[in-house]
Amino acid sequence: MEGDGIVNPITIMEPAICEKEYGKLVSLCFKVFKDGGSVRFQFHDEYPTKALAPLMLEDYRKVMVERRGEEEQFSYEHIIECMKKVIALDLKQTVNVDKDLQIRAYYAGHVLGAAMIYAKVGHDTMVYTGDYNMTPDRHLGAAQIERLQLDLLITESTYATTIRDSKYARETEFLKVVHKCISRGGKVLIPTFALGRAQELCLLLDDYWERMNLKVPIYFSAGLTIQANMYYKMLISWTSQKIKDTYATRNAFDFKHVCPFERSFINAPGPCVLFATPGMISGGFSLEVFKQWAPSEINLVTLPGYCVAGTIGHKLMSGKPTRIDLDKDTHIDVRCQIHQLSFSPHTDAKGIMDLVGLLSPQHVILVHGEKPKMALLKGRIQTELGIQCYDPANNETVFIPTNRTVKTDATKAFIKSCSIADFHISSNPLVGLTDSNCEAIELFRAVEDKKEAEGILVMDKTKRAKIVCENELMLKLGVEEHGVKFAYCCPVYIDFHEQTSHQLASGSCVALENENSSLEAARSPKCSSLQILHRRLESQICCKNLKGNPDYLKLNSITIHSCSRNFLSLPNQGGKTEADQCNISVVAGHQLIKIWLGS
Amino acid sequence: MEQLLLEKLERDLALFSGEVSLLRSLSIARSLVSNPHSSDATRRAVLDSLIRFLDAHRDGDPTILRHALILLSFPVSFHHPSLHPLLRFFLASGEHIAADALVVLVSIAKNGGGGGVAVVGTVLDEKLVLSLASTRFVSVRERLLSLLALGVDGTRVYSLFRPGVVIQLLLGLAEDLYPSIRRAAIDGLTVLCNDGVLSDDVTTLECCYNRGAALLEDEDELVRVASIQLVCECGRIFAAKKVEADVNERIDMIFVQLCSVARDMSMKVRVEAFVALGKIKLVSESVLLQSLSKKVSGIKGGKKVLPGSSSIEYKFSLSRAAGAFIHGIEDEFYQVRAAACNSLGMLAVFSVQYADDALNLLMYMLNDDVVIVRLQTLQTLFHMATCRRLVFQEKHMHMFLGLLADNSILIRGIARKVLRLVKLPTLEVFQSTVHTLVKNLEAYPEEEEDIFLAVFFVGKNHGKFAAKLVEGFAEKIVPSSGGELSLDSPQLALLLMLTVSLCFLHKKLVSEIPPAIFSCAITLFGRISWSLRGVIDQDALLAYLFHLSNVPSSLTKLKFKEDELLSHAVEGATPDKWKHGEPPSSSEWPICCVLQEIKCDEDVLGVSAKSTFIEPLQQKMFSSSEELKHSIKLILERAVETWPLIQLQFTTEVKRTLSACREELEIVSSNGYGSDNASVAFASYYVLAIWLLAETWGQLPLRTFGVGMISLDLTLDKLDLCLRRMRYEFPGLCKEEEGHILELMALSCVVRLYGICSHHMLKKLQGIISCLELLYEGGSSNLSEFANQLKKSCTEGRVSNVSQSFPFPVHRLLGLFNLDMFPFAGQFEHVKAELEAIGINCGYEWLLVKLDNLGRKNFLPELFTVPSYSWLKFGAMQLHLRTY
Repeated sequence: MEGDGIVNPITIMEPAICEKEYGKLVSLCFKVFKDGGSVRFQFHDEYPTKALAPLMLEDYRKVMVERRGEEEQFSYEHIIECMKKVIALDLKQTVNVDKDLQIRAYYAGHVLGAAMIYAKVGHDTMVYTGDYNMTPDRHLGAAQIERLQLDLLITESTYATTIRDSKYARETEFLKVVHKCISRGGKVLIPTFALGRAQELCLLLDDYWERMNLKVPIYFSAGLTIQANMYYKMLISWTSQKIKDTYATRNAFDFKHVCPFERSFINAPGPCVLFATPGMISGGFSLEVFKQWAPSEINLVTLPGYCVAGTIGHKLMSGKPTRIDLDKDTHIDVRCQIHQLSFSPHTDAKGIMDLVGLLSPQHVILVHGEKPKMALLKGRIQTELGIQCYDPANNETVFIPTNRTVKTDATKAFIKSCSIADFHISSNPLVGLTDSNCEAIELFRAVEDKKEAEGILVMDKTKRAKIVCENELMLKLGVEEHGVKFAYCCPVYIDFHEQTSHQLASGSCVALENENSSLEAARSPKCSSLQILHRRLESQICCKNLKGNPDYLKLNSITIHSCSRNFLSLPNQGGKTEADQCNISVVAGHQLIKIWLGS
Repeated sequence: MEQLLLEKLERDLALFSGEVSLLRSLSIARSLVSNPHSSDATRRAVLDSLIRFLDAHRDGDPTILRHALILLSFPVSFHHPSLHPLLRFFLASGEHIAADALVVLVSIAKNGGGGGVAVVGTVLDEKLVLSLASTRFVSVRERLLSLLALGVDGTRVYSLFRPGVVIQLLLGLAEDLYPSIRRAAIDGLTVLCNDGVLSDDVTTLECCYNRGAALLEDEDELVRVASIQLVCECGRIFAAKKVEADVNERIDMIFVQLCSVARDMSMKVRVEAFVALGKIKLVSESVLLQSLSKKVSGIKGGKKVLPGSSSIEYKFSLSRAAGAFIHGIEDEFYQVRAAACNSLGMLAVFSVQYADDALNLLMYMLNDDVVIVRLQTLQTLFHMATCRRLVFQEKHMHMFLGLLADNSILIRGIARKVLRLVKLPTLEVFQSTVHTLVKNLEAYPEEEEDIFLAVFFVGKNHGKFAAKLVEGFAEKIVPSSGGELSLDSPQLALLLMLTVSLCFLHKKLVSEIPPAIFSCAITLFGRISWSLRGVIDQDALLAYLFHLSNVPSSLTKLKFKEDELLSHAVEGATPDKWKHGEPPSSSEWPICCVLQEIKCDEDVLGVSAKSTFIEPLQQKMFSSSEELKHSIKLILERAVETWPLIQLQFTTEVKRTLSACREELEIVSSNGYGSDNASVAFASYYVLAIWLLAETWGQLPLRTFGVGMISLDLTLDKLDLCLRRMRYEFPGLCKEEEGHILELMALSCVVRLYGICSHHMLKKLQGIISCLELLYEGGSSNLSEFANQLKKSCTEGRVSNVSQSFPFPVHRLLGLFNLDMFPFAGQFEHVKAELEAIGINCGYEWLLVKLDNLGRKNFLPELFTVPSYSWLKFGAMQLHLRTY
């Protein structure tokens, strides 16, 4: 429903290009007022669109009825009635349509009032965009959207394979041709539609005139764009940055060099530039002027990039005719120069790829384009960006799988533990901090690891999942913590001579042990053997962090002390007759750690 | 008061009783510390007592103590033994108060001079830093980062710790949940890179780069901006190392990454990305070219991966870089467009092909609607031209020449400067260029000088083209040179200039040009030589032109040697930097550099560059002093013409005119007519006198009897002083001049008598009148009506001698006075005396008198012993002495 509501009525100002969209809008409006009094849905539109839509619709109605002689499908009252049901939507305004559906509009460029719509139903999100433009015009900005977590992106693909070069080349060429023409005293006819192109070209020319100090008049034919210009002036926030910037000092749409036009000027001598409707010289004022100006070779006609077959514009574009037959009696000699200038407000293939890359949705659906080209683009999106892409035909149904997300609560402590990098642990690695360089590498490894947060998922009687921290769990469950310590016992062989020599050399401790025989000393080595061990460890692995204590040795979380179990009962191992055995147990946190100490 | 407050504060702090009272006393402390009139001792005392208080209540509620602690950050240099332990205690407390302690530390580091950073080192150690970094308080983490990145006098705080620890900390915090922390951490890493800490360790550098690259897609735009800077900086270091085999691929990848960021939705990020792109060096040509084209080169479909990706896994294919600069110059924001333009120029140095393609884009930018972008584009073109990377093609010329007709004077100027350096492809282009310059001269005659210079260089750079053009032109003019030729036409002027430009380096070509043209050029010599000053020696040029035009140079006795013209180059006039063709960096882009730049080019090409003005100036001197007198006369006339307005009391209008006169005088004096300062000084006194007169008249109606004296009298005092100066400082005044001044003095006395009768004034008046009489030898015919009437009134006053009842006819006299034109002869000198008093206490003062501008050196300087405040008669001068 919202998708349809986003059709931009203004695009119908270029009816041939956008006839399809126009039909869509009409049918949509039709549906609305066919529903009569029972309003079952509203549709949202952007402010400029709402402002301009009634005008456009009324215009179209007249064309349908008066020109084509079709049956009147709706009346002016219908339009008014329909517009009453339209709610205007502003850029980046989030609207909760009902309790599930949330929509938000983003700027799309293209035409005044064009928008991309972000919609969210439950947890599923999508962006629908009709026509948009990724490169800015002179009068409109580029599409602007933020990074969103999207399940689906539906995008137009009018130019699925075209990559356009800089528009500046075309602009420069245009200005050069126009300047050349007027400097030779020629007249320039620019047939154009009321909205978009006229403003774009006029801004370009007005600025050029200003810079080059040109005094040649620029005319807008009466009726053309006067109303449209008014809307542009009012809806300045939807225009390009430059116009917004200068708005405070001067409205860019108050063209400095544009003068009001009178019919008598058509045949007045001297150079001029004239904007006239309609854009394809299919009739009306532009045809009238064309008849007058075409026979002179110093004059210039600039045509839009696309003209419907059958119009004079189309004839001029397809080869350079010297004579055009209007009807049996009237002919026009065409000697003037023809310049073709296409300003397309659609994005090109690169723009589409850029948008898809930026939004990185889970899935992409391409709409509005030629089938083979869309297939190519689809292939590119899938291979280059790795995003699942679809290009459904009319009436085809596509199922998009979305990820189920489960919401869980989390305690504050858990969130904090996720957010804070704890530098304590990583800066105190377990073993042998002897070399700072070695430490640095260790540190980087700790940082480079993907950050993980450890937590415990609990679900209590309320059936609501909650993540808690490890230390919070005890509190929550109301239980006490039981710690289990592991110890590893291993025999340590100590050279007997070393022991005695040590005892002789050492102080008070030695005095105590001197009374015992050497065998007894071996049976209860206690502190002395620990001391020896300490000494050996220090000398062999140059371990500075080892802390000595009469009862145990400590290296970070590892504690070493002698074991009460008697090892003497064990048989001596081969070749170790002279050595005493000392039983050492190592206790380390929760781990079992082996220490090998060989003699 | 100060003392009282201090005592109260100390008492209150000692009797700490809850938050409310503390806050009250802290407000006292704050006002004492922040009051600029507090003495240093007081401030120190306050901080002392605060520290004592904090020390005593260490374990109190940190939320309350914060208020006290934060006051310590006030920038007062002091030292307290317990400050450091105190700060350590709070930092280690793990509470929010640590943030405030960090603020204090930052303040100490900043204000402690050289030792500031060392103090931080005594308070913080690695362990503490790490614990602070893992605190749960955002502000603590943020302030820690700002402290680490702080640099005072070239010493950074982070250098107190092992670099490994600091890097690890920053890398860790770069993943923080809060964007401000991430940004600060990334900025910190950039600082480390900048300081070269990371240069030695490749693995560490890689870590930083990876973190930066990952954050290029951060949600927060400022983090993205910071990481762009980091990635760019890492790229610079990679490029500088060059040791790695895969360094080129790595830099290509960085370039591609930055290109893809250049499509960001945020303007700031895009600007930063383009700035960064311009700084990257050693990028391979294929990648560079890709950034200029939206179509992916190589394999169709854009799947081509960068070559040689064996060592580094490329996440980015070449297609991500496609058309980055096209998007840049098409951007909605002019900031982005300007940055993109600049970067295009920076990168153009590395590849000829790239420069050509970039030029196409830059040409479009000349059509931009924002002046800044057009200027930036021209600067970029200029930069490319100086690096010999600017090759114009025919298709470019229309756009470029269009700029010469631009509305903005800046743009026109730079466009011409670029034009001086470019090489034009064909004769047609050359012709149209000259034609455009002619149009330019027609439209903006005030820029003649610059246009001439441009034509000169264009001609010099394209000798053959110029010769052809001149030949064709010579055919046209030589037959008609019988007198039809109008030298005023801009076209002719420029063609003559072109001819002059041929004199350089193109001797063969010169021989084919008819001498008549050179004789035409001599007629324009003034304009030509003025625009070429600083490039060519004028005399040499003139002599050369005489030589070429076969006219015996009778006017000047200069002898010309053909080589002389080329040997006039002034050695050392151009800095070496320019000689080596080193381009200026874009940041230092003074327009004035351009001329130097061009001089450098001349050196390279071997053409003379001379910038001496002294000789011609001396020749000018004589005529210029006459000129000066004339202009001063005009200014004085304008000043005198204000008299009717003064009488009508249009004070504001008069003052406006007079200040305009003053400005003109300043301009005249700044034109460098050094010798004739006297006239200028005199004229400025005169204008001042008129100004004061106007002020006096403005105040006259305010003055009723005895009221409003002060301000009027002050003005009159000033007027008197000014007139006295005019009279005495300029020996050599002619009779008429002195008479004029005396009349003005009399007028000021008369005004003083307005409503008051004073014997003193009458006496003074009589004195002035007798001076006047003496001046004119008694013949009253020369005296003005005012003076005559005044004389009469004075004698009457003396006769009646009843001062109180005698009404001096002030109104009538003032009505009679008419300010005549000042009879300016200007044959006087200016004598100024500076007095210096030495020894103030000895009752007498030694005065040292220095006299300027006088040839009478025999009495300079002299010492006088005079009592203070006295008048010193000194020749014709009266010196007003002042004690200092």
